[in-house]
Order: sequence, then C-alpha cells, then structure tokens
Amino acid sequence: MIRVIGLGSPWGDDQAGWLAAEDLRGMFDEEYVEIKLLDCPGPSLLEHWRAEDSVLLLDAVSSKSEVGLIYNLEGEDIIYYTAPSLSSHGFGLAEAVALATGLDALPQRLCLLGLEIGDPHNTMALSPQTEGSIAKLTKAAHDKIRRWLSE
Amino acid sequence: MTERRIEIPILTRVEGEGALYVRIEGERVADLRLNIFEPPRFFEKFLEGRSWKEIPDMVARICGICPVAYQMSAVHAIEAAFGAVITPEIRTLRRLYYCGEWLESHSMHIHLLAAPDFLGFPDAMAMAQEYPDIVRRGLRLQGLGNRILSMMGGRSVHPVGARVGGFYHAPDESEAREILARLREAAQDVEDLVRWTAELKVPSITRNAPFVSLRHAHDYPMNEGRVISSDGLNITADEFEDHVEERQVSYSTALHAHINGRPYWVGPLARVNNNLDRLPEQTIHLLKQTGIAWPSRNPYHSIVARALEIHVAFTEATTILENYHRPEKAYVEIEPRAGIGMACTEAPRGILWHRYELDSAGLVKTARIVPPTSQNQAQIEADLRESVEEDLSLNDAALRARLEAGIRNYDPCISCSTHFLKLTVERT
Repeated sequence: MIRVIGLGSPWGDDQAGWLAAEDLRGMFDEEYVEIKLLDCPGPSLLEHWRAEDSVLLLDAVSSKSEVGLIYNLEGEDIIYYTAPSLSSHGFGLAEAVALATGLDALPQRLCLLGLEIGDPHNTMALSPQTEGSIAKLTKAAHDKIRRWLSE
Repeated sequence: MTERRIEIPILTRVEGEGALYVRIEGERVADLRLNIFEPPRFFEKFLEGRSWKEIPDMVARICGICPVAYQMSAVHAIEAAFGAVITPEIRTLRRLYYCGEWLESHSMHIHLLAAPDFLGFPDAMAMAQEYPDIVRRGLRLQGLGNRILSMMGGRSVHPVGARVGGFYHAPDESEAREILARLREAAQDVEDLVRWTAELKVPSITRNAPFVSLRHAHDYPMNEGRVISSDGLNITADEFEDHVEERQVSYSTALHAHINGRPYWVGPLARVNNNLDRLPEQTIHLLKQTGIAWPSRNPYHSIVARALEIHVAFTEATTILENYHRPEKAYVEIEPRAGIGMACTEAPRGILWHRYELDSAGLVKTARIVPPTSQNQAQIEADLRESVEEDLSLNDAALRARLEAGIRNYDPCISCSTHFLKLTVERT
C-alpha cells in the first residue's frame, strides 16, 4: 500500500502539505494509494503505516531558502535534515522517524517531500507565494507515486 | 564563600520553551528561577467577542496533548453561565472522552518523556533501542487513547466533536464495540505498566506542599467536583478566584499561583493522594501491590500515579463501553443568556479552571484560564530548591540531570501556561 500523509494544520502556509495531499485525491486508485491528513501527530505517526508500506509525507518546510523549492528526503535522512521539533512535547517528525528507526518500525519506503515556505507567517491565510507553489509539490508527489506504483 | 551556577538553557522533553537557572552560595540556594520564555499566546483575549458555539473548538487549540481538558472546562463553565443541565448519558460520554485523554497523555509522558530519566537515556529514541517492548507498550496505550479521542472528537489532535451541551454526534455502537475489543486486549499492558513504574528506582525524598485536586461525591474526579486540598481547602469552582492568587514574576511569561500565600501541587499525584477512596476496586488492588505508602509526598511517585490513572481510565472506559447504547441525541439544546460561569476539570496535569462572562447573545465578554502548569510552577521551584540542597555533592552534570528529571515529574506544559503580557510603561 502507498500511504500519502499530508502533515500540517488548517492555518497559514502550514496548510501546504494538506493542500497537496488533497489535490492528489482522485488521481489514483484508492485500493493502492491511501491519502490522509494529520495535524501534529507526534509519536502516533507510527500508527499510520505498516512495515510493508510505502509512505510519502508531504509537509511545509522552513529553511529560509527560496519559496517553492522542493526537498526530497528519504528514510533516515529525515532525522538528520529536519530540525528538532517545537511541536507538542518536542516530539515532531524527526523524532517520530528516529523512534521508528530505534524500534525497527520504518516502512519499506519512506520519503518526505517538503515545500519551502520561507519565513513562516503567523497568519490564518495562505501566502500568495506558497499558494503558487502547491502545484509543484503536488506534481512531485504525483511523480513519486507513479514511480513507486511502477516498481 | 564558593559560588556555583547551574544552568539548563533549554529544557527538553517538556512542551514549550523554558530554562532553569540556579545560583548556589556555599550550601544554600541563593537564587533559582524556572525561566519560561515562551511568548505569551493571548488566548483569553482571542476568545473575547466570540460566540459560545466557537469556544470548544478554539480552546482545543491551546494544547495538542490535553485539548479535551480545555474543551471540558470551557463547556462546563459556559453551561453554568447559561443554566444548562446535561443528561446522565452525556455525562458518561464526557467521562469516556476524558478517559481517552488521560490514556493518551499519561502513556506518552511515562514512556517517551519520563522513562528515559529513570533508565538513564538521553531520550526515548535512544531508549527504544534497548527497551523496545517498553516503548511499544507506550505507543499501543497512547494509540488506544487516541482512538477513543477520534471516536468522540472526530480526530485525536485538536478534536472537534465536543460542543456546549454535549457532543455533535454520539459514537456508533459498532465503533464502540471495536474500541471495547481493543481495550480488552490492553488489559495486561495496563497492569504490567503499574507494576513496572512501581519497580523503578527513585530518590527517596519528601515534599510538603498541599495537594490540590477535585473531589467528587462518588467518582474518581474528572469533569466535576469540589476543589479540595490536603490541608483543608474545600471550595466550589465559583470560589476559586477568592482563594487562588496569581502573581507575575519578572523572569517568566507564566504566572505563579498560590493558595493562602503558599505554593501548591496539582496533577496525578495530588489526585491519587486526595482520592484514594474513589479509585476503582481493581485499581486499589494494584495500588496495594506498589509497595508505596499512599498518600505519597515523593514527586518521583508521580509516574506511578500516572500509571494508576491509566488503569482508572482503562477500567472506566471499559465499563462505559460494555454498557453503551447510542443515545438518541448527544446534546441538550442551549439557550444563551447573559451571565458568568466558572468550572474546573482535571486535565492530565492537574486542575484547569475557566471563567467566562457572556452577554445575552452568548458572546464572550471576558475569559480567564488558569492552567495546571502555572499552578505548579511555584511548587516546582520550591521542590527544586530542596533538591539542590539535598544533592550538593553531585557534580554539575549529574545535578543538572536530577533537576531536569525533577521538573519532568510535574510534566509541565509550558505552552499552555504562557499567557501573560509583560508590559513596560514609560511616562515622560
């Protein structure tokens, strides 16, 4: 099973992962590709995959680079290239993947596609720059899923 | 006189941003500050002008770990302002909802945040390599709590199912049966957890602050009860403001709470100590096997209290679901009216008090929230002062580790507690 997980929240540019995941709905057979949206899952992210799955995480990334840049991190690289989290009890994506690694509970394939959003803005609305880049994240995710399906 | 400084610039395995500063002169603590520097969040101000219908979803956003507590204190306070009375079925569903949160929050704290202190690891990721079964148990129990939250709230993080008057929907009986089956499978995990926490090696220390919690006429307290303390306080939620004084300190964006001028202690250890005779029979049986003399004044026994409360939540959720029949309607109709309402419920970290003043249309005129971490903050500092003086022989690294573990005994949620604005006025 390919599991696409949009990470984020309903607010501001943090919506990027959710919006791209929503855009993918209807593009693939639900029997093979599951799409879900999660808000701050912390360690419970591990509940959302099994060892035999291919998991594609879609998330907004802030590294002060050019807005719209797409990052592609595979497997344990997610631990080393994402900063320690400020999410609930300091347990975010990097920590969840590190925990899965320690428990030998990583899925067969794990990939994070991140969309650079620049400085995160504390506003409710999506910024025009990020909004204009969502299609790039959706396309990158679409291409990745097609590749996995063909392998 | 020798001077020694211990600094922990960033506290880890707690929610939010804080630090600890200690200055020791000779064998005495000259200064100790739990420095909470997370920016204030102004939630109480955000709520002003909002409709009563929006409040449960808004306050659920205050905390990713204990949204149910914020929702429950809010709905009870607003129902008090409107004079609304809920049905016994809704009361039961609210207790089930709270059971889910206690299971989720306590399981996460025990296994992923506190356990590394007791087993000598820097974090849960490192601990998972040597104790995978322990961590997996924590994830299973946390997942079970999340499953109950999803059933009641639509989703486990920032749930949206609760409303003033009850819930938007009652769970389907088939979903309730599925969760009941999962609970039954978890029975051994829950009992093993209590015994495992009781076997952890802990420092033998005693702290003498009053324990403050709710106390209900016949149930272990979650949503209702009087606010009581181990030294004789016995008040309603409406009287809370008359007894609890919140003070600003220069180095923290969270307020310090005192009762009658003294720090006090809220949370699982306070609840268990104050409600030993309200524990379910099966939990009392386990409690007697812990070898601990209850009530305990050792903050390191907080982890055992959390495990016992997981057993309470497990036992009660199982009983509720065994007898569950989907009610025709999961809420009572609400008629807004002008008024003031106050309520206190038991968040995983301790009592959480809300006060709302609403106008005749049900719009919030003022809101006030007193979260458990700000109530514990003065007590945490008092506890750590004693810890420093007890452990002066430790080197700096060991003392730092001891103090961090001492803070985590209270499972502080700093993000919940930071809501005052430091205001500087210069007049010319």
